[in-house]
Amino acid sequence: MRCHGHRWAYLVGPLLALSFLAGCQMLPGASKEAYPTRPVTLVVGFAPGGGADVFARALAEAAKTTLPQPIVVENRAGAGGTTSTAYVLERPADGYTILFGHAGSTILTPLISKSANLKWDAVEPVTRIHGEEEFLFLRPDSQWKTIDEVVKFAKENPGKFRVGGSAVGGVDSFVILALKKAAGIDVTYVPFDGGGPAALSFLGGNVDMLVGNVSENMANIEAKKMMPIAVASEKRSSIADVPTLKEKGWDVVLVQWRGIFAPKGTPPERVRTLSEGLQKALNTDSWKGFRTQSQSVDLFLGPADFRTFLAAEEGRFGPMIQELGL
Amino acid sequence: MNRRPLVSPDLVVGLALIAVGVGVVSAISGLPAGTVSDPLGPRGFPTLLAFVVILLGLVLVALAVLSAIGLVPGAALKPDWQGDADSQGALSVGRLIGGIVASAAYVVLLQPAGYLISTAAYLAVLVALQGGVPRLPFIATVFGFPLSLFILFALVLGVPMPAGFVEGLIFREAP
Amino acid sequence: MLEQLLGGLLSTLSVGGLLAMLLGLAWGTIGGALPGVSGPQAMALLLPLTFGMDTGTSLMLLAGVWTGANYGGSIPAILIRTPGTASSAACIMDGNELVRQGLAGKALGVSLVCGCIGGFLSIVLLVALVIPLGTAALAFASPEIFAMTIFGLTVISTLSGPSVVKGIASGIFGLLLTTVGLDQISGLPRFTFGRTELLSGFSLVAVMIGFFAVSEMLYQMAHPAAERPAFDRKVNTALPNLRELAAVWRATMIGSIVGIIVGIAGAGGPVSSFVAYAEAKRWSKRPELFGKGSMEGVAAPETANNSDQGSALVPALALGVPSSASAAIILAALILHGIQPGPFLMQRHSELVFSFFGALFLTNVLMIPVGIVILRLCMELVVVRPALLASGVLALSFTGTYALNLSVTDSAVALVFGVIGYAMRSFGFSTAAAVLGMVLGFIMEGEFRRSMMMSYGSPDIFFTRPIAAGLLVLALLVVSRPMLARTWSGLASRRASRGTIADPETG
Repeated sequence: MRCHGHRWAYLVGPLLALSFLAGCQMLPGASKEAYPTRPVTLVVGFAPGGGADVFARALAEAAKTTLPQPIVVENRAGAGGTTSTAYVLERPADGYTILFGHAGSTILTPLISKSANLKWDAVEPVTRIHGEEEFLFLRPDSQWKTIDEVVKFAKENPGKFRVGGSAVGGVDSFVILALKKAAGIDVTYVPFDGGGPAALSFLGGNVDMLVGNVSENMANIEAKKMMPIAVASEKRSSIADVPTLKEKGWDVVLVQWRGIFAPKGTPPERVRTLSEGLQKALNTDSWKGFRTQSQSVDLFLGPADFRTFLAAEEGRFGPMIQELGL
Repeated sequence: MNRRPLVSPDLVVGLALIAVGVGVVSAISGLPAGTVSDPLGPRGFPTLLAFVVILLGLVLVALAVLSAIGLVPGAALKPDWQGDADSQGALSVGRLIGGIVASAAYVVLLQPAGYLISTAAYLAVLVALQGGVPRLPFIATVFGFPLSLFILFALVLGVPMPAGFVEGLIFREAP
Repeated sequence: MLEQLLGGLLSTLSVGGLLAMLLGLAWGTIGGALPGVSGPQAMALLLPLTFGMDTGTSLMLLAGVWTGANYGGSIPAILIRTPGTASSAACIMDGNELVRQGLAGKALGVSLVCGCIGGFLSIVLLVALVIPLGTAALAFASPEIFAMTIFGLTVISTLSGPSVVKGIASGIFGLLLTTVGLDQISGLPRFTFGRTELLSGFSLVAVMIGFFAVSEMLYQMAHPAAERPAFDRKVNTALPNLRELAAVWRATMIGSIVGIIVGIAGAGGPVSSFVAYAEAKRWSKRPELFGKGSMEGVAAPETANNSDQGSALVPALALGVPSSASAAIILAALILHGIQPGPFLMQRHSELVFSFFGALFLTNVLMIPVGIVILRLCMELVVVRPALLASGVLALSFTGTYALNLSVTDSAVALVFGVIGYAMRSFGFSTAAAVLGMVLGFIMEGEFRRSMMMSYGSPDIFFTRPIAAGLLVLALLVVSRPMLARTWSGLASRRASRGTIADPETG
């Protein structure tokens, strides 16, 4: 039998050793001139394989030649991206942790889920990179062929038209919410766990219209299983010559933009280094290939302009969210 | 029929279930009700489940009361443990509480103190709580296990473990 | 087609290809075995590595990781009651019980071989029928998935233990746990009490680790064993022989079928493994052994969670839309290599697709020797004093749950549910039923509400769609089977007794 005191003595040895180790070294020093000197972690608040993740990885790959250190993607999915924001807020603001953000994760979801403390202004905007246009799709065999027919039907049959898209709090859902308000129609928005399941359900005939990007649905568009009928942009798209909602008289302009953020208090020089490095990445062949494949548009904005843009975006959505009682 | 005391575990659990159900219903009441197309709404599912829980709680309470009066046998109280009950010793409350407190401390200190130190300390405390082991396995485990896990998770798989103030010195170059 | 397949297989037999597959298998098995690291995460961690490789080799690597992770998760589940991945939780009940009886090798061996058989079968199906199955996948929409979860609820009685009332209460508790966090339909927070940590709800893996591993280790700590059973190396590490493997063929078949169907529907690994467990028990010749160390109770869930992976690839390859996280990563790898997934993928890049199929076949075969090496290693590791093992498992549990999302919240969740699980089991409530409830709850609520939206707010949709209605009727039959059986035998005995008195009709 071991006696009482003998047992606890075992603890002392290893703990002393470790604390000696800790005590006789100094803590890491403050910021030096060269940055970055080790890999930068890009935290993505969405599951691997999804649109946000693919974007982040493509960007990281393109930035390999324009930033001295590689960008490493880390996935932390949850709560529409706000979980990753909360995580990044607790990281040291040394420029070695950056955050992926889009309209949903930095504006819409925080407002709807009443976590305004995780909004875009809780972090430091670094750059806006690119955007994808939001399209409305119909199946070729459906009874409607144009957006006018859809709106007419919806007006005459409130609650009988179903639109599928990704989760509420994302840009997809807001396109429809804004359209409902602008056109005065009552359609049912069916949210799915992402563009993929929404497309599957749409192809199976369970919803009448799909809202989403072209990149996720390219193959099915080519196979003529779905046709774009309208786009939520300022001007007509180069991808498909379909009317914009705006030209039809409904002020619905929403772009699925994507950008990079950093914890508040990150030194401005480091923010600038990142911003310039990422801007150069947009000119690499690697990025150009991705851009063509995803049919996206580069929408680069530096830190100051990005901040202004974000404030304006919130100004647009905030009242809408309040009106809708969300 | 075996009589059982009125205040049996079943009664307590039954009452607890009713409390949980009521709590759920009140916590969810602030949310909007359903719409035409989504009749359940955010409230529906939890409310439905809460009502079932309250019902089950009432059933358990009823069974407990009835078995105290001697009318029905009590609901089976066999613990769900696997393995032979005889080969396990009696409950040592000290060890149980100690284990829970140590685990809570570990979770709290994991990030600030860093992975290696806190895991090593945690293992040491747990082993001590269970009566200790000879020196060699002890040292091998307390030092070796956190290190192996660190290597597996952080270095092999690239899942970063919290550096704390110690690893910042050993594993990262000074910026 | 056969020659395309052979061509695909041959293309994998290069040095680079074999290395990629073996590396992937090892990586995937380790990643799957470590609690808190899932198969998709293990695959994602290698994505940057694939940038430097050609597309074919990248796919071979990922195929290896995929197959490895499918198996890896069950190793800690069986050995130390800690699920390495969410889908391996259903192996715990019988697998760990077998380990206690000194049959660790048999349990792990059955899990390995039957898992590979299941994976193999589902890939055969995938390759042979990918295009028609793609259309079938479209038929499994929200109403069908909801009906499937209702059917899954009937499994609770299998997991309840002695008291059905308590089993149902556990199941409902599990269902309730999924309502914490953001509501997936309206986006509004529920039961978060303003705390950001709860916004994403309770992580399924963290709760599983809490209920199964932490609660058990707390029990072991709190109830010191009077005497430690002797460890007989020969008995404990013996692998199953062919006769024993053949004896579980029925459970393996059931597991494969359940896994394939659930995989096409896209309902996920934990669902398929629990349902397979219950179905194997229902059709087994020795149902009373389930929960006490039945090899069928290991074969069925393990086969199911492997075979649902192959069929989850079907919508991904046929339509370009993934229905599982792992399939999403395969497609992402294609995109990052400049290839567009979709209905034309098989036509335009058939050599690539068939080489991927070849890799899937080959990795399932290679998994067996690689798996045997790894499981022997793991069995050696677990032979330590109980005090060290319990401490180690606890440390691993909290480490793993931290690794899930690099958040201490998940570790705290594991601890809280470890304590709750301990209390539950002391009072006779089944933690397995609660876990099942959690597995089903999220899907159940979401798909029900979506179905109602598709049905303009009326429940008709569940009765007009044949598959959904069929599953609901099946669930009803299963639940009322005990009553029906009694009524039937009652009627039969009455008719028999009537017959002996007089037989007017038959004359």
